[in-house]
Amino acid sequence: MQWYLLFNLIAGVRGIPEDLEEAARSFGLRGRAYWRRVLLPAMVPSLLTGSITAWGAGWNALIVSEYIPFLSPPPHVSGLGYLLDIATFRKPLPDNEMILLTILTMIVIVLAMNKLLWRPLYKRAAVKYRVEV
Amino acid sequence: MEAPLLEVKDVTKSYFENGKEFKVLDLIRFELAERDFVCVVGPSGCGKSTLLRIIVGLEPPTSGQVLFEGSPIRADNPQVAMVFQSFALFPWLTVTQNVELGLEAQGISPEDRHGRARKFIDAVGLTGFENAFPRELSGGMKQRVGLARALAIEPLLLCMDEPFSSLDPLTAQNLRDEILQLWANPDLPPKAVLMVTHSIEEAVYLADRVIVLSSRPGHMVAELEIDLPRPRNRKEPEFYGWIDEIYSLIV
Repeated sequence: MQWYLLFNLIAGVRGIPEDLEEAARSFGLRGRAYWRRVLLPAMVPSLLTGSITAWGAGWNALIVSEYIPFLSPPPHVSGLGYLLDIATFRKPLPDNEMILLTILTMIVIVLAMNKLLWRPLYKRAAVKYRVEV
Repeated sequence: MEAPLLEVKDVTKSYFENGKEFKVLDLIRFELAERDFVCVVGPSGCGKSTLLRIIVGLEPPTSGQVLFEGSPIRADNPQVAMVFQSFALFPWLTVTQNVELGLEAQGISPEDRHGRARKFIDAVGLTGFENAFPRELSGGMKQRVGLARALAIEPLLLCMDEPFSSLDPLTAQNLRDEILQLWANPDLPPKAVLMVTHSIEEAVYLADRVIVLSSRPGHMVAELEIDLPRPRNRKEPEFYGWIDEIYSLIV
């Protein structure tokens, strides 16, 4: 997860327009003040897109990891992936209700995260922290 | 005899690519005294912006040197402030925070910063916009913020890189007159102004002295003293006489 974040941050720092860099230099901005007024705000959009990407990848990895057999017997982890796995493969007949329920839960969680967390943050970042070239 | 405020000594700038040298500036040499208003004028691509950046210390010359008050110039010299053609305002900071930037960098306390920033926000006519963000401002207002930011550190020398070329003629003219007023006022900074422009008319309107550069490589063609009294009238024959003379030197 941290790699998505890191690469986005690197891109964000590189994307600081040259004239802002020069303005900061010409006014002698350095150290903590530079981080606070230039570097960190400039990284906010990349921080956000990096987080969204990282979260998505982490979510995938988590569910898949609950599904892939690891040790024998597999350690017990209760989670959506585990429930889906059991419902699909372990019982004699696939438990269709449970399959549907777990998938619906995943959808609801993703939609809720998008709507309640990522969208508002993204809007704010696009307005306040966007650098016009 | 007063020591000059700024000395540009045989500044040459070249870029090197694939082993070939591209000379952008060739042996630029002039001085600025404390009450000077100097414009550097030249065609696009003659290196005048590069020259200004070398003068304020953002770029080193390939040879030659720039001395400010007798010492080699450094980019963060608190007596030299720059106004950028592209405004260079930080979009996530309010007008006040942008104007205070240089003061904050100098470690001045928030209370003192606010007072000084306020003074210059008023001086450039942006009273009431202290908490606005740059995206909410017009081009002319943004440049006023850039100007206030430069003046807030109370520099001896104000350097401007084609500051009005992105603005409409009316706004640009207003700002030119404001700069003249600020410069002429002994109680307000700056003491000296060095401005780069491609508009000969702007140079003749504003400057005591005009340094004329020609292109590729940029070299000094002339250094002229404009002895017209201010306020200057564009319609007077002497005015456009100067324009013609400078134009003929460039072409």
